[in-house]
Formats: sequence, structure tokens, C-alpha cells
Amino acid sequence: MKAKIKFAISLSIAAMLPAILTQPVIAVDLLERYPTQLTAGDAEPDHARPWKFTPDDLYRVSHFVVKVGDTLKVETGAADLGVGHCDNGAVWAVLIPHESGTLTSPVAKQDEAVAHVWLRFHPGQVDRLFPTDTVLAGGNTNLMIQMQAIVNAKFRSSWHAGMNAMIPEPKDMTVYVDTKGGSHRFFMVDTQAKTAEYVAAFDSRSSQNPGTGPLSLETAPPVVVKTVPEAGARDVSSGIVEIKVTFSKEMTDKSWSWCQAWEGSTGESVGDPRYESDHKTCVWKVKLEPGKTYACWLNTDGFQNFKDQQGHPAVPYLLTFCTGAAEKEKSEKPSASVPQTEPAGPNRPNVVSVSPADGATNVDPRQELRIRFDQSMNPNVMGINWSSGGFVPDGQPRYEPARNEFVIPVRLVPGQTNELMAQSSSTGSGGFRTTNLTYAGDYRWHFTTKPVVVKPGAVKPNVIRISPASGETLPVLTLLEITFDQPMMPPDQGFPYLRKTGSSFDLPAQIPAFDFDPSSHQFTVPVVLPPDNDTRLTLDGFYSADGVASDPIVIRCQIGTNSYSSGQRNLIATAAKDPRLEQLVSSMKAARARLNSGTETVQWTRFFGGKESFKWIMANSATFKWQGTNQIYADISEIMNLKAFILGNDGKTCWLYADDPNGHRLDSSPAALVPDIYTSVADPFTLTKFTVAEAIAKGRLVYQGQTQFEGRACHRVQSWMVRQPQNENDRVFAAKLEWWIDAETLLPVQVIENSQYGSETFRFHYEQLNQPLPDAAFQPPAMTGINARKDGFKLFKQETPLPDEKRFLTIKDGSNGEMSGRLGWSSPGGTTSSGLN
Amino acid sequence: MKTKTLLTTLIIGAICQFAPQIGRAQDVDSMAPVVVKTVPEAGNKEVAPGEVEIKVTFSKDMMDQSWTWSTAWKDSDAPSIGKPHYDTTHRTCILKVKLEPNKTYGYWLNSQNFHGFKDAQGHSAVPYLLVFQTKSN
Repeated sequence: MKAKIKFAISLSIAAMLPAILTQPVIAVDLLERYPTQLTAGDAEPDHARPWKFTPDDLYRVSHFVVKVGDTLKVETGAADLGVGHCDNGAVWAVLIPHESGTLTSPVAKQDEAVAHVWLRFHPGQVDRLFPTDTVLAGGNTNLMIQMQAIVNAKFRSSWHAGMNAMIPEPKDMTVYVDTKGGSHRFFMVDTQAKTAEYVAAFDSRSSQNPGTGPLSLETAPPVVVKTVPEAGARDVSSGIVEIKVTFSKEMTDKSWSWCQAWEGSTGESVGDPRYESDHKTCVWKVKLEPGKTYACWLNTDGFQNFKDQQGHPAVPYLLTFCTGAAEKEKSEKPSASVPQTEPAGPNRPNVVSVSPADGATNVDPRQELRIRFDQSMNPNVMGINWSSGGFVPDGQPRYEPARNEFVIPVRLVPGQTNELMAQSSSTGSGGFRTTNLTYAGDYRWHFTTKPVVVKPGAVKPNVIRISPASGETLPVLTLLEITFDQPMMPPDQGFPYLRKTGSSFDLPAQIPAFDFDPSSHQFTVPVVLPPDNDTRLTLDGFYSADGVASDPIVIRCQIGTNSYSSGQRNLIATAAKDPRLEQLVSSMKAARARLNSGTETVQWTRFFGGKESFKWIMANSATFKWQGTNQIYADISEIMNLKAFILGNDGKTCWLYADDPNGHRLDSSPAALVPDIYTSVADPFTLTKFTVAEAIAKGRLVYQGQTQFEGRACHRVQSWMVRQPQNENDRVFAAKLEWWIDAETLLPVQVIENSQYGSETFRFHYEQLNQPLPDAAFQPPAMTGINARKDGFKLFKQETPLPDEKRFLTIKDGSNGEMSGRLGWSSPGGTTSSGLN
Repeated sequence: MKTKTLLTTLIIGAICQFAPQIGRAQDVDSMAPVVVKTVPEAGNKEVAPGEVEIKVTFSKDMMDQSWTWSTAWKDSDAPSIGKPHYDTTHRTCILKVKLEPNKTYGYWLNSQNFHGFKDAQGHSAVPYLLVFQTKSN
């Protein structure tokens, strides 16, 4: 596997920013800064080049002048300069004079005051336009946004193919001056012939500036006077829909600019747009999905093809609306003011209040969601699903019995409508229910969060460094370090994410355990990459502390077969020698060996779904018991969402009791005929089987020090786990595991596992430690009427295993990050079993 | 070469275009408000002169006491009678003016440099040009 290109060049250029900013002011040779091999033009659209513009491309000039014969002269004093560049040098420039600047041309009788200047030129001409002794480093980064707006408005005026730059001949140049009087002076310059051809059509563009000359109804640009659906409409029907836009004037036929506000924001086109017979109404048939927000710009500064019959472009208009939920869902959807609950049955628990309230707006993104019922509930079971909006957890959900209320601390995605459903068991495991298994109905409500507020004058954040550096072959588990040039919103406020393609099982994927160092503005983003492969990562959702989004970060990378980087391997090897870790694990092993019996309740909370945030919370509990080395019991009924799913081994018989919609059943096998019994309870590092050194090495454990957890001192241990496929049906799995080990009992009290599938928290409560438990505690519930053989539910076909039948029982309590309860048998032909994981 | 460049521009410009991704997916509440209705309607040539209420309705609830009625060119506005105000819907801003006969009036409702029309959350409205013409007495 050869190491190849990994990172975009712009990022390495951007990395120079701090160095430049801390240097004394020096003159800059722009041709040296943006070297080019090009000696001629290249106007083939297929060859058009993508370009970049970063804070590193901002300069100051002491003076600027461009003069073309006696026909055109643009001259300014001190000005700010922005330069756009491709891999073959500089391709455009924006100049904003600090104070004075004049345009002299035949177009106006008098000199015109310059607002800003847009220039397109051959890359080899940059130092002629901006001589070295006039250019200073350290431009005003506060002008980035203004310059980008100018670029967006002007780029498509010449030498372009879409937003890519074509290269003019060295003698050709575009000089496009916006005057303070509101005029837009566009000149095609031939420096060899010393001619400047004025193109008057551009003066009608971007006519949003007051101060243009008097208009008549004929010369005024058209505007949108009506849309169907109306802007801001909610509950628009989904399916095939005609969007109609009516302008104030008759329009040019077959000319329009329906522009996306974001990727996929316009719906799926079903045929070309057309004008109705009134020539004022343009109709576009699109396919709309239910429950989605759509937004479409009708013209922008860069796309101006909605124009009247005289060619005046329409004033840009933003049409935004959202569709209602699918018809099936719609009948269940609450109105804005009347939340809906499924019809209450006898004794069925009902939601009596929620917070934030249904229909609330401007909700602070940091919230404690509250769901209150009219009766006492099972405190361990809950399920909430977001059909729009999303969250990251901000603490452990809890139940307040005095109020029959669940409290879920979250950070909500800002500026979004959150549509939530507190779900019953009918929609999956984790539904709200009472302790006597009476299920609540589904309950839906919605509210809207406060958007991110952009501070005035805020500047777009730019990446100045990415690690691993370009040229490295990346491991399957890669911790990307992304450093920005300014303070950023931490991950629980800005919601950065890896854009996913394919299903949630596909790689690359992110592990939702982003770190952020505010002092260095550096994010650490764990990603799981497809082994022995090339891929492209697109990271998005990074916001400056001032509320400005960064551009998406695109990283091309080649991945090897190593699970970890050499740095991670070194860290793991060093951590293994940490005497504190060895002492802790030794103490845990001794403590666990002293525990002969106990009962353990595990609260399992899962957060998953969604892209930049989670969309599901599910919580359940399970109970485990153990005694000696041969008695084990696991009640995982809540997790299996069944009336009963319990399994165990009383020392003589391995058994599974289930009560599901098919009835209840009992499968069992003499323990002596089950050669593969694997149990792990209160034993996160498998210390009942491994030596201390083996446990540290196999677990890749790293000691993190002591901390307080719910009023008790705990040791923290961490591990990055990577499991590569063992067969063709296997998948890569990677996770970050963190343990909180009670410093007194040396038992785990909490484990958090963040993997590519979401985030899981296990919390452990212990009772009856080292108290003798009766054998009956490890036997299946007493029951009558079971005839498993007759019912056809029998897991084992006969009392004695066939020669190639290997029976197994697996019980794991989640303290190693995985909860499991399964009974069955395997043979060369496959595995037959029943259970969890 | 120039011809080729301009030709490219025109060909690309004649077809339905989609801008590159310019933002993050949002919802209606977080988007800029826009004008959904004006009285008189833009382009109306038969507006009665005299004292008239110009009404501008936006797509969202708007911030009270905040607006930008700008002239579209020199003297394109009419003398106003009192301050603008929002009606009880908080979406319709009303400016009472005195219109002369046979005259074209033009207002920018927000512009590149002035963003007084904003929704209750502070999002500036997309600029809108209202031009209409009065009829003779």
C-alpha cells in the first residue's frame, strides 16, 4: 500500500497563516506567492479550474492603478486586496479602497467614485497589476465576507464555467467596477490593443442598491408578486407538486434560475419549468418528500435568468416552505396547539405535560426535556424519537418519581424545528410503561430552537492545520486533528459531523466522541475508515464562536490495514507500563475474586440515529445475578421488549425462558452438555479469566486518573477498540470505551461506549454482594402448560447433542461495552440460537 | 477569445441553473423573511392617487418598530403621513403616504446596505423592490 496524497493543498497553505500574521509587515511578490507555469490562455470550459480564497489571500495595497490607453483608468489609494487562486496561479482579485478611488471612462462625463473593483486576468499578470512594492501582507480578515459576496456576484460575468475559472490570454482582462453611485461598469480590456470595451448590460445587474437612476415600470426589474405555495407555508402537500411563481412583469420565455439554498433544497425536478400563457407565471413540477423543508432562490446575484422581456433580471427572491408529514403520519400528527396521544385505555398512562411546551419557539438549545405522566412509571424504560431536529446528550436521563416525570438533559441543534415522539412499546423497545407493564400511547409534540446568532462583523473560520499530515497512510481508526484560526463553538454547540454516504453500516464513519481544545481551537475527530482503501471525507458543521460556519472540510485519504497509528500504539504501550494502571487492575482482579455472589442492575441508555446529531434515545434496564463460577442469571426482558426473556444456569441446567406474542416457552440443556459457557458480570476487563498483564494488553487500557462520579471517587480508564473483519460477512467496528471504577469497591459504576453506531451508557448498581443466594434464584420461573417440543419452539432438537453440535450460553452485562444474553448451538452448517447480541 | 467567453456565459445562462451548495439545511423559522404581498402590487399602473396606505406583508412575524423604506431613486418616494407601523398580525407593515397622479413610485424594502425589516428573531428580510404607478385624477 503506497502512501499518496491525502489532504487538499489549500489546507497546507492555510497553515501558514499564523506565521504570516506574526511577521512584520513586508512587501509581497504575488507572482512568487501564486506561481504559474501558464503562458497562454485556456478558455476550454472543460479545463476550467477550481479556485480557493482564504484569509491567507488577503493583502493591503498602498496604491493601485490600471490604465488602458486614454479610454479607461481606475485608480485608488490604499486598499484591501483579496486574491483568488487555482493550482496554476492567481485568477481573480477584489480591491476595496479604504477611502478614495476613481473610475475615468467614456461611460460617465465625470469621474466616478469607486466602491470596489473586480478583476479577472491571466495568472502571469498578477505582479503587473499589483507590483511588489505596493503589496503588503496582513490584509483585513474582517473583509472576507464582503469580498466573498463580491466574488459570488461577479464571478460569472466572464471567463468562467460555473464557478470554475477559465484562463484568459495574457493580454485580456476584465475590469468590473461598482461605483459608489450604484453603477456597475464592466469593461473587456485588451492590453495589447489598448482597448476597453464597455458592456452596458451589466449595469442592470445587482440592482438592489438604492441610488440608481429613475425607473419606470418598464425599466424596473421584475419582482415576485405571488408564489404557490406561499413563502413560509407549512404543511404543504408532499408528492408531485407544481411550484408557481408569478412576477410583476411579462418574462423572457425558457429562461429561469431556480437555485438551491442548500444541497437538495429544491426537491426533485419532474420535467422542465415552463411559463403559463400570461408569461408572468413560471411553473416547475417537483417531487416533494413529506416532513421536509424546501428553499429555492429565484435568481441570485450570480444567477439572473429570471428576467423580463427587455432583459432586466428579476430581484432575487427566497421561496421557503415545508411539507407536512406523510399522510399516514399526518393523521397522527398533532396540531400546533393540541398535542396528540393515542386514545387512552383503561389505566393507560398519559402524558400530562411536556417541556419545552408543544409549539414553543425560540427555545434555548440547552434543555432539560421533561415528560410528565399521570401515574407512576417504570423509571428505567423510555424511548424518544426525533423525526426532525436532533440532539446530543448533556447528562444522564433521570426519573423524578414525585412528579412522575422523566428529565432528559440535552443540547438541541440550534435553529431547527424539533418534532418528537415519546413512544410506546408498539414502536420498538424502550417505550414508556408502568412497572406493571401497562404501556403509554405514543405522544408527539414539537418546538423550535433558537438559531445561532452571528455576531456583526464575524469572520468565517478557516482551517489552518490538519493532522495526520498529507502523505501518511492512515490507520482504520484515525484521530483527525483539525485546527481553526479562531475560537470555535465546542462540539455540543456547533454539531460538527462527517457527511455520510451509504447506510449507517458503511464506512467511513465518525465516532461521536469529538474533543475540542479551546486554547488551540483544535478539534479531535475520531473516524473509522475502510481498511486498505481510498476514500474522501467531508466534515461539516464547524462554527466559529461568533456563529459563522466554516466551509466543509474535504480530505482525500488512503487507508492502510493497521488498526491504529504508530502514535496510538506507542501511547497504548506506554500506558500499559503505567504503575497506577497495573495497581488498579491488580486490585480489581483481587476484589472480583473475593466476590462470590451478587445481584446487579444495569441501566442501559442508547443515543443513536441522525447525522450531525442523534435522533433516538432508548433506555432499558436488565438484571444479572451470579454465584460462584457456575450459577448465572440474566433478565433482559425490557431490552428484548418482551414480557419475559430470562436465561441462566443453575449449575445443572442451562435454560432460556421467554414469554412473547407466540406464548411462553422454556428451552434447556444439561449444563454438562454445554461446553461453551461464557459469562461476564461485574468484570469489565475479564479479570476472572485473564492475568493482569493480559487484561491490560488485550484491552489496550489507558489510565486516566481519578474523578468524582455521583459523590464517589472513581478511577477512569479508557480504551480505543478496533475490531477488523474476521470473515467476509464481518464488519469493521471501532469504539472509544471509558470506564468509571469505584475506588472503594473496585467495581464498574459506569461505562460509556461511543462507536460508529452511536453512544451507549451502562450504569451499574449492586446488591447482595457476597450474600448467599438460593439455587432457586438461578432457576427459570415456575410455570405450567409448557410443551416446548410440541410447540415447535424447542431450541435443542434432542436431549443429547449431535456429534457436530456445540451448545453455548453467553451472558455479558455490558461492563465491557457489550451486553449479551444468548442460548443456542452451532455446527458446521450454522448457528441456531435465541437472545441478545 | 472574448466571443467564446461571452458565448459560454450566455449558453450557461440560458438553461435552468442550480447554484452550488451555499448553506446548511435549515427550517422555515431560521430562513430570512420575504415579502409575500404588497398593496398596491408591484407593477400596478392604476393606483389611485391621494392618501393611500402602502401595505407590505412578510412571510414571518416581524420585529416591531424596525423597517427600511428606501427610495429606489431620487424622489421615488411619496410624502409620508405619519410613521410606518405593523398591524396586529405583526406581519404587515403599513406606511401612509400621499400619492400624486401620473407618477411612478419606487421603494426598496431593505437593500444591500439597509436591513431594518427583520423578523422577530432578527433575520433580515430579503430586499424587495416595490414600484408602481398612479393613474390620473
